[in-house]
Amino acid sequence: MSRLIDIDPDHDGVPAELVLTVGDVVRFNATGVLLRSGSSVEVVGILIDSVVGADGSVLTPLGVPNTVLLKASAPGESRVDVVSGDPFGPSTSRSVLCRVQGPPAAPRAS
Amino acid sequence: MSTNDESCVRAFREIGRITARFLDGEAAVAPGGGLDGTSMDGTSTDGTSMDGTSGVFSAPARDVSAGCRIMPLPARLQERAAEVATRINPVNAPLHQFQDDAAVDAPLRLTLTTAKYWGPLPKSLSVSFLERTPADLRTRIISHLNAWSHACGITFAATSGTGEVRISRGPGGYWSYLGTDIRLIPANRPTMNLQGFTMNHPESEFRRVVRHEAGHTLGFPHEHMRKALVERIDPQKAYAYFLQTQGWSQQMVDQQVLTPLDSRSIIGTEPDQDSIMCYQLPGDITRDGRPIPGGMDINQTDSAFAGLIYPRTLRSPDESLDAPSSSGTAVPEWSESEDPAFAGV
Ligand SMILES: [Zn+2]
Repeated sequence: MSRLIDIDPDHDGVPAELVLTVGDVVRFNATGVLLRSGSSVEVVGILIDSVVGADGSVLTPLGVPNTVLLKASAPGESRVDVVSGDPFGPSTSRSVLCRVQGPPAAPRAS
Repeated sequence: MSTNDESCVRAFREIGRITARFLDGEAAVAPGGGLDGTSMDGTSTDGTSMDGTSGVFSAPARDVSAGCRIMPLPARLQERAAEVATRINPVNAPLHQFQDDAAVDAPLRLTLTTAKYWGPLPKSLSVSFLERTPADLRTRIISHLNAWSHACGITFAATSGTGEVRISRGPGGYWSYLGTDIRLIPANRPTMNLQGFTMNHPESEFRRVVRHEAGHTLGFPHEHMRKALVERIDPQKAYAYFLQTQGWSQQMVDQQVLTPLDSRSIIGTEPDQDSIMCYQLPGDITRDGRPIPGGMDINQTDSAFAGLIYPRTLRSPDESLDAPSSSGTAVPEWSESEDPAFAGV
């Protein structure tokens, strides 16, 4: 089963190296991300949390992006810089090496 | 003057004519001063102008020259007034155009998203906290929400139940839903986020952040998204800057920085780069290299505009801002058969 891995850089920090499996999704509480090298992860999006309102519409608060989603898409290594803070002012960039492993081998038929 | 501006003038005149009726003879002097005698341009009807230091109107009203003042409407008329407000497009019409004969003493620049307007009646919004929050921090945050209440008729009051305003200090940065949208947010979700706020935060951050988010709750969008301020930004510089610092795509920069507010959805006058609702924007992205300073606190023009659209009229004189109540809804009414039509808009 693929995993959703939730990381709050300002609270938890980020590991220097993140070992993932193809199909994993990583969620950072962050305002931006820069893919520095590699193609083993893809940036799904830089997003803002929103909710479904009582009237059924999707409501979005006024604020800056607060969610970065990465997907481990292929075996290999990628380096990303995760940015948090104020996009218009002081922000912090943290570098993470994402080491993506292949999917687990399928069970052998008996 | 454009057709929309003319509609705006008519709408406000009509609202003024309706609301002035219950001032005649009985409510001309409202308790506690405030915006009671204030005309649409921020000038009191007895000729007293806005207090230049505090940003609040201090003179009691005593004359009713009607025409162009915002006063509370009976509840049955609020929806129609809001409907009128959403039809008008006064963004570039200085508010003195709503008044035939008064001069503008104070600039009025803040912006309101009309569809999210709470209406002109004074009201109290209840506030709760999603996480366990120390009492001193709750009190401090609410006192900063109520910084707006010194100038306008909306107050914030703590509740031990589920508030209309629900504050989280969890991850996600600083944000708030806009105006009356907070009523649509599921009750288990925050309507405002103040990531990581503690008593250790400096007072300046409480002023800059909490008051800004409270402004969103009142229905005020970002001032830096006004067309005139957006036009100060160099798109190519902005694309390069945010790509380098955040990894944002051009489309994202367009959405976040370069798309001005739809003028049909807002009411406001000149943009104000010192408004509490204006972000600080770096000089790296402006055409002239000068930063847009942004607001560090509610300024005088913020106060004036908030007081104009949310008048404090009929607030009880002994009503404390620290312990607001809902008594502001006790507005004298006339019979429904006497309601005039909102003609022409
Ligand atoms: Zn904001």
